[in-house]
Amino acid sequence: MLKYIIKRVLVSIPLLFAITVVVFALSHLMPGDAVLAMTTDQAPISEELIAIRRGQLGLDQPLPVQYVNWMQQVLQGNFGYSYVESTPVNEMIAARVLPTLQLMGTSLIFSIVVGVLLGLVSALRQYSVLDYALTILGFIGVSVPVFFLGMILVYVFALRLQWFPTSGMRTAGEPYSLVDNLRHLFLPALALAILRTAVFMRFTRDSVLEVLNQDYVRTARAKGLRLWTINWRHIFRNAMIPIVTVIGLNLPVLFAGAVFIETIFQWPGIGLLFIGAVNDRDAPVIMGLTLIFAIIVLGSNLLTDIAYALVDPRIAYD
Amino acid sequence: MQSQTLNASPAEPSVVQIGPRPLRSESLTRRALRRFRRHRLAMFGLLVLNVLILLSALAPQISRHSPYDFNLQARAVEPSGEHWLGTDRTGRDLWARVVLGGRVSLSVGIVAVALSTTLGVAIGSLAGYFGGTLDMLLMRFTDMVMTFPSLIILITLVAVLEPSIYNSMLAIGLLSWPGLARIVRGQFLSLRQAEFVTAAHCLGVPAWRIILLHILPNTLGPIIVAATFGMGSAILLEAGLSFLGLGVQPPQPSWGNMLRDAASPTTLESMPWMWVPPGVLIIISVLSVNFIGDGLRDAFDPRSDL
Amino acid sequence: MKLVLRLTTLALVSVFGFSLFALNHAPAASQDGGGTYRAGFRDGCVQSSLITTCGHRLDATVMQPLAAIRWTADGLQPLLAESWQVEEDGRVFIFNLREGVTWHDGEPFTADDVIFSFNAYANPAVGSRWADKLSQVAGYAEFQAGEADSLVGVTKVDDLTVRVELASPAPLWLELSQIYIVIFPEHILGEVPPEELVGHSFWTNRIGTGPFRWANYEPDQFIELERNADYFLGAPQLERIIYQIYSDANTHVAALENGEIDSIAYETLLLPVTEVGRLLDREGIFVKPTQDAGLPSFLRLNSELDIFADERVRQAMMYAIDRQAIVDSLWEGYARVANTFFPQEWTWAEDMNTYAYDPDRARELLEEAGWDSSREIDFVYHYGDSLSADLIVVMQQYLADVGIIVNPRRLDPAVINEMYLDGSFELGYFALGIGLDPSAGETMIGCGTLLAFSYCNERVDELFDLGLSTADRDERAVYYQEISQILNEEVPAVWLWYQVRPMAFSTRVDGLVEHWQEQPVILFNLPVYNEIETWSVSE
Repeated sequence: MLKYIIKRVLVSIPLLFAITVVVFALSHLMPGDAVLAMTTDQAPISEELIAIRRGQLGLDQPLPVQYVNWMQQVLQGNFGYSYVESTPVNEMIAARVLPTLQLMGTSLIFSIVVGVLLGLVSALRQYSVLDYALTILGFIGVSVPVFFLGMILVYVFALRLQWFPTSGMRTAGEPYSLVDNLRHLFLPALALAILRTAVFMRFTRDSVLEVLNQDYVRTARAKGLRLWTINWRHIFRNAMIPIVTVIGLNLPVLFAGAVFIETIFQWPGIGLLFIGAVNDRDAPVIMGLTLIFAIIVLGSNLLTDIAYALVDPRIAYD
Repeated sequence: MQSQTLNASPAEPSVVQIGPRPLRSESLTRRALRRFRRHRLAMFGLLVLNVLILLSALAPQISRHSPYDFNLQARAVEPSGEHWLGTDRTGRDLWARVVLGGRVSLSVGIVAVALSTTLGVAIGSLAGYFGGTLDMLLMRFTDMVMTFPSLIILITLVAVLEPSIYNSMLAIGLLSWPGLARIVRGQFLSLRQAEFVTAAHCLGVPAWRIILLHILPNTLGPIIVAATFGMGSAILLEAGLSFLGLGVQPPQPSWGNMLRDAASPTTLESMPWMWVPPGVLIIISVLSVNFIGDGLRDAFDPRSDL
Repeated sequence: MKLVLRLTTLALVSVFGFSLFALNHAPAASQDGGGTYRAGFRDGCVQSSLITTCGHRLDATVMQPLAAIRWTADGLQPLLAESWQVEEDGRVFIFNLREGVTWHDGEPFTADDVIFSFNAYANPAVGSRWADKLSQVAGYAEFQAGEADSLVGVTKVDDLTVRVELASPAPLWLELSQIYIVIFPEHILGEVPPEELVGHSFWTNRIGTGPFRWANYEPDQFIELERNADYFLGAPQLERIIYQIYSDANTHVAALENGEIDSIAYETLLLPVTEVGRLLDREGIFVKPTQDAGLPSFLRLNSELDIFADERVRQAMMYAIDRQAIVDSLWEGYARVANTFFPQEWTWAEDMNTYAYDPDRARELLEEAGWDSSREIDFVYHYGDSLSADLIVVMQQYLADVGIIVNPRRLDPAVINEMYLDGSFELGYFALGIGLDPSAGETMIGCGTLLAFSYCNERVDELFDLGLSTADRDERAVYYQEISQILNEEVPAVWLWYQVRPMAFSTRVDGLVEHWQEQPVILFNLPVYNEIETWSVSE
């Protein structure tokens, strides 16, 4: 097992290196740079000033030099300084990780619990009205653009009903309170959760159905084992394998899905930071974030494989 | 956003444990067709999707007004006999825009999927058939592309390429192939040892013929399934890009940018004719595509005894 | 399995219960003191005062200039300078600084702070956007050219007196330039190398002299300021100011409607004109739709291109677009048709051509000029809102109607600015904040400026100089009216409209609405003395 993990980690190193090149290239291929993005139309700026700012940010250096400078910093564990805010990229990202994790974590837990449960019910009552209703609802759930869902939720629950705040993570200027935080969390988390719930429900249903059709379950039933015992011992555990895979595959996607929801709800997380950085051509932030995302994805792929191996003893590690 | 889940994963469980399959593709296809026809939701989806495609294809013929001509005297008019779906804030006919927008949104879906399927099949089959170093290199490359969260890199890529309909197609296509490549590679790995392949090999059939004519037809099922789901997520991705202002650019309508233009509270409240049609059509088209995908998956699933 | 079911049920019930609880939980009202004023704030404005164009709200409350433009009355409000003498017809300014002013950290404010700040703005190594506001000070050119290491024109008379000498008399220097220059604490920033000043962490934790102290900054969320009880004009009533940061205009509007913020003003994300009508009907919200003199919006032409060389082509474009119809419809009336650059009415010549919509005249002019209607023109813009998209589309069609084919492309500001710099653009839709006074227009339309491209009319430059030679409004009006007349005839850019930016406020804050109501016109891009210390919140 350990050997397997080490091997997987080692394989990831050249991959990460290649990723840094791609990330760097992409963020510098974008037309225009941070200084130009800052020259708004409200006050004109002179060519001399642009040259001064470029010099201050090191943008006047040739690209390979900039790459080497950046890599030197990355290897020391820091991603440089934001062109726009001048603060260390590490700090900027660190400040956004918790909000994003809270949003993602809540919606993920909600959707796993509800999705798996509904999927299970749906499978055990296959071809019932409930099953059909849930299936169709699930399909609709994955077919709605998440930003549209967010807009509608804001309109209905914040503007019309005034049950929840429209945006933000907490009421500014008041001491942090969990209730206040959760009230802000509810709508964005719900918007994200609806989609995920549908996905998990679908998968649970499919994999439970698959197990139900296996011979050993039929045998168990024929032996007269009580349905719940069969469900728990035989069905659920075996059905967990594909479910774990799907959850793992969904971790990185969840982070990306945050882009829309965080924009609509002004949720101070990673997605909002990223969109802002692209508009501002804030290359160090773009590169830092993309690289961290890549590491998260690599990590979660690895975790999924390990979890997979643990859940299913038939899988060999090497 | 929804992309990876839909295009990569739903197809996977059926592939992972795929067992020995009949070698002649005709019977396989026929059986699949028969099963597909019995899948009610899928048939319904196929019907709806065909209607949508037909409407989009006939867009200019079935619109009484041009989708581009504004009329500042008839702004934001409610649906009427003259304007079936009302007009937008510049007085353009929304029916004409919705059907043309459908053409744009659906073609982004179709072209992006065609591109990603071609890439995925090419890379997956080469890796799976030849194995060895080529396999290793291609798969590491696939891993790398997979590692980038699609939306994040999509936004960056579109910013590099400059937002437009073609670049949306290109960017979505370029980023959605890795899941399929893995599936195809898996299929090729299991099939290249099959007797009929060995036989063809011994007869001196060139590799490209074996790949294209002998193995590929046997892997069509998962490919079609993945492509179908991929189209759904491509339509959603285009809408998402348009929402961020990075997708299809005005004056060209797409369902995504029509929805975005109607995103203000005032429009949501008092001008439903501006956002309900594009919103509902995105949902319906993705829904139909997903129904079809589901039907196809069941149809190609050798274990299913329907 | 049962356990799982039970746990799940429990989880669902608690989520449901929580949401019920949420229904009854009204936002907590702050009971202490004068309450909290929550202002909408634009994403990306929390940068150094040296380079921002939108962070001036902070500069009106935390950092301060020597004197500021008054909210209502004419003349200047003395802030850090208690008084000043003008000598030699406006060539020498002697500032008597206010005694007993302390920085928020307790250090005394002195002449050294003023001298340090002036030098910081003018220092070429700092790269401040506002450097040109000091360009009239003696020694500026030498400092910029690297021949001097400070501004010789700025000298310390004693700890509370600063003497500023200009290169030549500029009677309006205080009103037009000084007000942009907020003073920084020398004891904190004095030792910072000039090239690191703009990016210094000071800007996210500012120490100023204003009525409010910097308390807390949460990126992408808010800036929290608290009352400065020692403020020299009297302790503010408000307990706190929260600048709530938004990056999406619709979210911003929804927050105002839901009572989460108290103001959407011109320095935040703009209030979309489509939302004004609904907000006008809302109780507790005061809408000020036409406060603003207007943001000049125009089509910028690349004057280096042959196709735009003929004046008749440019005039034809003015005739071709029905600007009045666009203002009345798409702008819902929140704009005024422009026939020249300046939005200030006193600068308008009486007999300017109004270029009323006349497509036939446009075709005629194009024909005379030998226009080639097969030439397709690249038309760039960067505004991402849907109103701008509509405007672009409508203008495209008006132009196509007379035979001018333009292909619109929306690009990021960074890209458009690059096209500006290298001259690769053809036609662009722009809105420019010209600022308080028409004299600011020189940096945008004068010969050789970055934004004028090759357009150059020496008479215009001459008139801009004359306009600054006197403080007398009537005399100045003559010069600027001649400029507006020239710009109206020569059409170096296709003048479209002055975009009036509507604002909306919650009536919860006493003082806020009153002051915006009284202010005659918006003075753009500078700290304004808004008497914020007298505002309060009534719960």
